Amino acid sequence: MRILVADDSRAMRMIVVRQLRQAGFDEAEFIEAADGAEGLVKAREHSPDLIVSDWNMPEMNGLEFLRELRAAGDETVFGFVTSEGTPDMIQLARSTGASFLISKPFTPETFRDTLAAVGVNQ
Amino acid sequence: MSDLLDWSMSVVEGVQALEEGIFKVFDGVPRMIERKAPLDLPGAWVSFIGGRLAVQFGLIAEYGTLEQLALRFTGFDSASEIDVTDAITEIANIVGGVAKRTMISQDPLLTSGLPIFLFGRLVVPSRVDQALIEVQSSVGSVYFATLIQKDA
Repeated sequence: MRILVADDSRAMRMIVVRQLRQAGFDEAEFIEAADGAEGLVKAREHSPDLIVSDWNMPEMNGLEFLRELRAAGDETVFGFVTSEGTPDMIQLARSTGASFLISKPFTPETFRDTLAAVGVNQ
Repeated sequence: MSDLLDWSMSVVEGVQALEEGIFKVFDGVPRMIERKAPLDLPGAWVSFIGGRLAVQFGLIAEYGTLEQLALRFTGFDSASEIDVTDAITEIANIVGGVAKRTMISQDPLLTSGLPIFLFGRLVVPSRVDQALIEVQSSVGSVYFATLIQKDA
């Protein structure tokens, strides 16, 4: 399984990868991107099975990243991991095609339960 | 002043949420203290602007303390200046995000800006209410400062 993690914080990318490994995705190949624009390029290059993205990022934010993917016909499972998470944003994420939104702070169990709920299994 | 109190209570919840999750970076108890924020200290700031509220929220401490928090947060053996600014802005963003989620019912237009790290002093508008939360940890005192513009 290939998982693309997009976040402008290197620390947060590392923490997300670590938590996904602890959630059972220890055999996955992880690809990292520092913003939505880089995420878009890496998604086309690596065809990930799952994309986990921050919402607020410079260059191209997570929502624009998701919109570009869907506009190109890419239906990869996409979820946000963000410090945001207001009801309006959750609704916007859903209507744009995101499968989930996890608010920080989170735990490995949050990832495990959420990914299982959307049918992503290690 | 109730906005300030509500925001500060939400910040305390945010710090506690960090401690209960995977981000065990603080080992002290957050408490509100009656003094002005030590704005000459370095740290990360996030702005939240809404229809009614204009908030600057910061995590500030002595640089050595911020460095230790960054090491705890990332699990790195050592942290460059970039690692420290990256980790501290992320922690401020997370705690501020918890506060925002609580306050959104009071100001549905509230949106957050990208966090910034300042080594110098934050320039504060003249008409602001301030609240300060201190967490005394084993690596030094950490401050969460909230500045709410009056009549925003």
